[in-house]
Amino acid sequence: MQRAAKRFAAAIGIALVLFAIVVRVSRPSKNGPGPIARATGGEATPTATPIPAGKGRPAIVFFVDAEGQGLVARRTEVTPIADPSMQAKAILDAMVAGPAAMPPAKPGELVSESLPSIPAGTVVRAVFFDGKGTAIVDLVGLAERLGGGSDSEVLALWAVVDALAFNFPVDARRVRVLLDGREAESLGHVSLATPLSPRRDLVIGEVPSLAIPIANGQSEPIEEDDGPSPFDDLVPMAP
Amino acid sequence: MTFLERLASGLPILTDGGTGIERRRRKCGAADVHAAFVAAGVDVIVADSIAVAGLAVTDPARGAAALADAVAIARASGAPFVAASLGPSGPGVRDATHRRELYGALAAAAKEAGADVIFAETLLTFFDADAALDAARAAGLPIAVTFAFSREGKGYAGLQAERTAQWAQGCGPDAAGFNCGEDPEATLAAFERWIAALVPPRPWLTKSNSRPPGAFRPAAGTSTPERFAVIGAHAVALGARIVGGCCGATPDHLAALVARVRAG
Repeated sequence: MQRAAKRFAAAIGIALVLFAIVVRVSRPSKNGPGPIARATGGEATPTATPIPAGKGRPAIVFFVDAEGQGLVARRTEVTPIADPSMQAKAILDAMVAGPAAMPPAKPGELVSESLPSIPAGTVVRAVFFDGKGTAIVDLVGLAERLGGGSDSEVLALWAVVDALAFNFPVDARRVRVLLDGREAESLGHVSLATPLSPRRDLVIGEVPSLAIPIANGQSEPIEEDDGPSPFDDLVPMAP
Repeated sequence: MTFLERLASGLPILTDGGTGIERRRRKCGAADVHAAFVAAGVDVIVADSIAVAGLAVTDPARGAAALADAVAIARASGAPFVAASLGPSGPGVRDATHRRELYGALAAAAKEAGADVIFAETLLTFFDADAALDAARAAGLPIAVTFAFSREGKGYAGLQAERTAQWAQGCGPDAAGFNCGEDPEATLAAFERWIAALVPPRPWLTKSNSRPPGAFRPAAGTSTPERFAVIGAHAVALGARIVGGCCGATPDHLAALVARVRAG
């Protein structure tokens, strides 16, 4: 009986520590994220807890179309996080989890078949925003998991770049990609020597709006949607 | 006939095209792609191993095993020659010793697996080129070294086409040149700059894309097998002794190139 009580007390203690960590990570800093905001973390969890309808933060994620000929955008919801870097990491984690981990389509929502854009097992270790329009993302294990030649490199890289640019149009006008914590000259075929700009030409079809539907049939843009679309100047790819 | 004997014969050697992209397009394994390229008439099948150098950075044994598997699959295609493809080492290399160790392990694995030649491809730095060259020599395999360049004739890491020509002159790989880059015209332009700077000549190699990476819908007429073959045959006329394809170059592209080159 005494042993059981000790186990119960230990379990309560662990739960309290975990709760404190979660609160600490999720709580916005009194001073805001500062000029360089950073999020770090481990491997994405494909079986994330479902977010109750209407409680999530709208996000646009990019997967590969069923024919492997471009990217397709999909609107989803992720857990709202005040820190923009942690929020960005959560969005990229959802992409690593792949289309199979996406919530089922809502009635009337047209969702085309798609393939993962970022190989499973890739870790989004960190996202930074430099405050000058460049996001920096550190991807661990991407290069060794890619197959399919340079097209796969292009699709994986610009899935990340377009997702950050679309969800954070002011803070991620460009994206610098680090591999395994280091600056890299290339991913194999694609140069990483300079920050990458978003590419609408790789996206097949429309990109859903980030606006949140409200009761009267209108919609309300979310905070990050105030800036211009990163794709405004680019010609879309014909479907 | 060994690969070097064939190279010395002066007859153009035709390599295959973009295996990774073709695997993706056909949704099949490397063996099926190799078979399609062999049917197109190429002389060299390049093992689907360009990524193993990056893999070997963290796990040399795993990288060597993956290379051996890829060479075995290529060997089974029945092609006259099999090249082990080694790509850039990537950002995880700690220092020069580490780089030499990983290329050394891979070259030894290529020799053990029965490769006829090493193609060190899409290289961006002389660090990787030097290490791959030394590793191939230590393993007793011939080596062809190719660099990737943009349309402006610049490598991603800042290399100029002329500098790579000087490197080839000084270091003496069995063949050297370009692969990948952007499209056939861009690769040809870099190749022309390169041979203009190269005295005396040595066997040149060009393996061009049929289209830029990720250009899934190239402008009409820009990536046809016919256009690819015309440009490849022009490289042969300029002196290239090894010619083939890279990203987006399908068996149809290679069949057109083989027919045009062999027709003289």
